Amino acid sequence: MASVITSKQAPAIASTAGTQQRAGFAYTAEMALIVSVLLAACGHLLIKNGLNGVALPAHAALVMKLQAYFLAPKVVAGLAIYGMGTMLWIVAVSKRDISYLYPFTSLNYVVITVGGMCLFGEPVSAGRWAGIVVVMLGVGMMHISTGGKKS
Amino acid sequence: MSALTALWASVVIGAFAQIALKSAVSGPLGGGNAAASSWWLTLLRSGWLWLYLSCFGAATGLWLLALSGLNISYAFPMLSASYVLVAVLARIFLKEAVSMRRWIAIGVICCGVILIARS
Repeated sequence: MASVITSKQAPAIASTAGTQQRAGFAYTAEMALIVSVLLAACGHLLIKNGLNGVALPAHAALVMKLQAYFLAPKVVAGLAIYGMGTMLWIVAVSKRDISYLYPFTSLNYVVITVGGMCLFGEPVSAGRWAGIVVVMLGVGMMHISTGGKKS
Repeated sequence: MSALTALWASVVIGAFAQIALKSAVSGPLGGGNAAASSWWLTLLRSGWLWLYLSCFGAATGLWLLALSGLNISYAFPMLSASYVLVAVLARIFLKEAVSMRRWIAIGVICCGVILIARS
């Protein structure tokens, strides 16, 4: 509820502040958006890195696996970084329309796929890239076409 | 449980989590008239919120199981299947109106997911 009030008041505050301090505060939402996308990508890549480092017996029980994963330091750090990204996303959403912001989050697919290639040597075929581009197109269409209306 | 089964289970349970969250903040909490403190208290007493948190936790655990056995360049883009599932579940359970343009966008995302799944 607090964020709803903020988003309604934000344009008025931004327009008065913008004339005086344009350079300092005009792009807060965009900065929060970019950093949130990068943090989410870094978080997932760190989680993957942490999972790769967990050594388990071949037929470990499900509960044992989950316990090992949730206690791996890099996995915990990755989840925390991902959480920080989510908080910055909320900051961005409070300042701009979600229909404008949301399509940018699909940039995560590109950052994470490039990260998988460079950090873990994963092979990425042209077909997979095509799929990622098509998904991004669909995400863009979904939010631009509706103006991000909530029902 | 195979990593691929865990991935799809994570997508499905994660989508149901979103429906539970929307149910938690709809109804009496949807009007936006209550004071902020009582709004949060009412939310905490909602069974839907706890269902959301349980589903969210389960989806996160399943995501770790999936990611431990799959390439991240495959598993992460596959999560976009949840866009499609959330829209379908919202149509069925929450009776949300889904416009033709949005169905077309969902169809495009489906095509992308199929391309990634086959890669």
